[in-house]
Amino acid sequence: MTSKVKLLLAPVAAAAALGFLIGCSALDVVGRTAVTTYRALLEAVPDGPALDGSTGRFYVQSPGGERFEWSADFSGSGPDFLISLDAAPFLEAGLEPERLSGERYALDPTTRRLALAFEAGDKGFAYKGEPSPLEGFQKIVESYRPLVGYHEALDHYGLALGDGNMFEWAKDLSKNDKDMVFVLNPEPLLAAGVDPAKVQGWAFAKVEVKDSAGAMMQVDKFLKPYELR
Amino acid sequence: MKVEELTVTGMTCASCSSRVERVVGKLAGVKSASVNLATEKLSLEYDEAVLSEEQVAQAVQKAGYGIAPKEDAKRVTIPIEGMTCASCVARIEKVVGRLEGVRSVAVNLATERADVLYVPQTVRLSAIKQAISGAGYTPREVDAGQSVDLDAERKRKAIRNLRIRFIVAAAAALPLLYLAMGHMLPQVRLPLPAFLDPMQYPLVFAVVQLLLVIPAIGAGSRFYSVGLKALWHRAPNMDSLIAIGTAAAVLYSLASTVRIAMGQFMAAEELYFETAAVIIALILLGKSLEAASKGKTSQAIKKLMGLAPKTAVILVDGKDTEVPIAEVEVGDLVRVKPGEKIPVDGEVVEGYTAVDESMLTGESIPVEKKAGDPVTGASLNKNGSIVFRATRVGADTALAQIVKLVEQAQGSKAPIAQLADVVSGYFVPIVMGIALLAGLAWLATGESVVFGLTIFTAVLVIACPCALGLATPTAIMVGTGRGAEKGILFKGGAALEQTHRVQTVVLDKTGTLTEGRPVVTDVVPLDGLAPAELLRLAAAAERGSEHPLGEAIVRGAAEQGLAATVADRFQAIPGKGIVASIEGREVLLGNESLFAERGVAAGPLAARWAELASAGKTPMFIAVGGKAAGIVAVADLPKPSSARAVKTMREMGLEVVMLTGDNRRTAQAVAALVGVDRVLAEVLPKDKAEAVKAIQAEGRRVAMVGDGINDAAALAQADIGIAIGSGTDVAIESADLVLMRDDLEDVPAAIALSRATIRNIKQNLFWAFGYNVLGIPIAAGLLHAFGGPLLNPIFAAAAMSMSSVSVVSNALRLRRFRFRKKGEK
Repeated sequence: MTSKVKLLLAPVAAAAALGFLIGCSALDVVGRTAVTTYRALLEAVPDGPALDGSTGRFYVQSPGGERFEWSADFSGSGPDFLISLDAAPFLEAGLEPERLSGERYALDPTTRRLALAFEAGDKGFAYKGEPSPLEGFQKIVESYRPLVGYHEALDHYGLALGDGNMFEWAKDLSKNDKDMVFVLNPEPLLAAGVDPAKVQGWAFAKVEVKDSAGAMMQVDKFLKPYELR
Repeated sequence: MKVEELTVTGMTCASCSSRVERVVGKLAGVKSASVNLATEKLSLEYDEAVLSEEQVAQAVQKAGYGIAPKEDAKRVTIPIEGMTCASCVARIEKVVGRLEGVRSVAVNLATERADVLYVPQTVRLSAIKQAISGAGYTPREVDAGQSVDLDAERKRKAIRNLRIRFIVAAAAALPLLYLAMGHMLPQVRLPLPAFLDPMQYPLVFAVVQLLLVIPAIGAGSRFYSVGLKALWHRAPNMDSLIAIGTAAAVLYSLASTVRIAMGQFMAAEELYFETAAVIIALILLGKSLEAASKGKTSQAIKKLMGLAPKTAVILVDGKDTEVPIAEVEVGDLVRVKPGEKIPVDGEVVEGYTAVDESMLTGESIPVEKKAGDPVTGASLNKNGSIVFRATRVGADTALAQIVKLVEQAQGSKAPIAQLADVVSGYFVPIVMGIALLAGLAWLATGESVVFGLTIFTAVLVIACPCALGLATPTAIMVGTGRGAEKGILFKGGAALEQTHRVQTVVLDKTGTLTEGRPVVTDVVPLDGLAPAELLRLAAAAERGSEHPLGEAIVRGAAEQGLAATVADRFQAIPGKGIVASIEGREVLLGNESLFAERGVAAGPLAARWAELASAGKTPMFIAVGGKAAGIVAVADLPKPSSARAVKTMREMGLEVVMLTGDNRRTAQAVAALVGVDRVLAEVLPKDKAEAVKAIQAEGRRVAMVGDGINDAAALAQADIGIAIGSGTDVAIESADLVLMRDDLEDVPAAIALSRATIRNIKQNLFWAFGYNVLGIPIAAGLLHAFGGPLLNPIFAAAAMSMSSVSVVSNALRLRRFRFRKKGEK
């Protein structure tokens, strides 16, 4: 083979190798280990994961009562993700619910629970047999991989739910004191009258995150971590 | 003992040349071995009975380098008619291949051409063609332009290869640099595709970098093959440093990739593939620039070699026949028309012309040539058609000798180069030690492994000694080449270096300071005799004389167009003069003794005689019919440029001494005309060397300038012997420096060139050492220890590459060296 032919073939080979890499899920270590660690989380939560038949969403519940829900099929009509939490600490800190966006936030006056709903897409997930919570999560990783990330500072995996709100879990539950963390974007809440200093049970803290260009930046978040093990 | 010059391939730095020198020097039968890194030549003196060239080549190959095919081999493509099938191809290959001197032959039936590699000194092209004809085929004329100089081709290939390697490495390094550093740039934040986000897809991020670094490593594969081999032989060189430095970065990055695969995603920030790729790309860039620049350093020799025409017209059975220059034989009659170049050396047998020899001597005024005059190959026939008989062809021509002289000078090593050789011999192992110690020291202070690795790699990469190895030979190549362009031929690097140390220049008077041919300067007639008549009588008396003074008078008369009268009778009286009978009158021509012996009174001429003698001239009394008739004075006048040259030398701080066998009065008169500092008169030829020795005993470094056989001993005695003009072969043989032109102003020009070259070498050594002296502590983290910046290995590689490029570029400045002379702009 002449050197010219070799030179011509080199970019073709490089492009083929690149294509292979992109398509090769074996190289997606973050996605792969996100699933395995999520399994560990599901196994560790006291009130194990379950499917809410009325909503079609799986859920895990924290020892404090916050719930993270993910839909078994994003093609359905309900929210794809949902965080449900006790609204009392925010109401007592000055929250005026009517000032929150109705598309994202919903306060149930009876139960005084605040629900944050998120739409990620409308892809339908197909299962072999009855879907399990972990299978549901696997479908999200496969179909909505960019939502799954690794948070280096806390050694966490997380799901970017939208608008700066996240659900995170520890990579290694045995080594982390924040095994499950609910992360809320404080801005809408602050705009709706919440005084962050008065919110009980939630930490108002600066968190290091990457912006869209990959630059590290400090942002305010409401955090509620739980140690499960 | 056999003296051989071989071309070594694969050397990159002074360590390589030292290694080859050591390996070859150790071989049984080798008397001396010297390697010039810039010319890539191994100069070897060895016992043929003990050692063969193949064994030398094997030893060099074992050390990790190669021996290029001999430069004297030429490749030629001969068009052939009459081939019809593969059998024809085999037949031609067979008949040509078995000729002695043919190294290889490949016949292509489709193109109807034979590609032949042959040694012109062993086999003539005509013999190859004859063999083809003998086999029943018709060789057509070879286009002279198809002859390829193998050495030039090899160098072109090497440069092209380096460029391709650089392009491959750069094509890998740039995306790697973008991937690794682009998103870290604080202001720009170059975007990355989502699948390469190091936080989302760290393993893809790492593996893509790994894939990209592979072509870069492939492009720099010789650093590993040669460098590791050198390391194995415990003679590490520049390649070893690059190999270890980049391998450390790659291996660490591979370990990080494995860590990522095992779930330690933060290791994505500890990938250094781009460091290795960028280092390789930068070193290859430096090497390709260096190779291109090195090619320019030998341009002077290429120019010289290109002076010879490719073909000659010889007379065969009275007919003009054009043949390749290699086929001209001694004794051939060669015709050269106006505007054509003279192909070989010879002697004019027919015709009259003026020949421009400036390309060989630097002399711009064309020289007239008539039957019997010598002509030199490569000079330009200006205005007349001549036929000359070839006397020297091929390697024997003056041009070939000059080329050989310059090649030898360029290939030789100057004493100043020994310093660089000694240093570079120890340099690489010491640098490796410093790199290791510095890396470990930082680890001991609590810094991370990554930090220690950065220090280790930076020290290794910045300390490559290639600039050190190039500092001296490149300057010598350019300096000697520039000199050769102007007809100033240094016979070696040592001569070039010694010349700048000269404090005293001793000039031989006759032929060096003066024209070397006496001329009539004064004609003083008495008693109403016309000057022309006096000169005519003197010339008639001297016509049969072979004495230089007599010849000068005859020539003087002829130049004035005086009738060439022949004496009836002529008698030479040794030590006094001559007596002749002209037109029935007795004519005496000689000194005071002759007049006294013949009882002729000088009368009023005596005072004029003394006056002329005190002016350094040689006056001769003339008496006609027993009565004083006048004086004819003859003198060897200084050349027009002598006084200017002496003045320039004195302005350069040189002491100028004139050495002559003449009497003190004559010598003082010439000395006053040209302005020398000191005169050594009445020195017999055999005592000239002693006179030089006496000046040396005063602690002066002496250059002796001469042109005759009688100067040979003095030229050899002097620290620098300078043979001037068309000097004798003996003088040229004894000299260290040959001036092609018969112009004394080339002496200060040569000294100035030597001074400029040595200054250039010192600058080069300063830069080469400076890079390392400054670079190593910075790379080792000295500035960082005091709160300053840390040198990234990438910048270390850039600095290292630039050191070689700057050294070669600085040497190339010598190509613009101007030989300033008074009156020249």
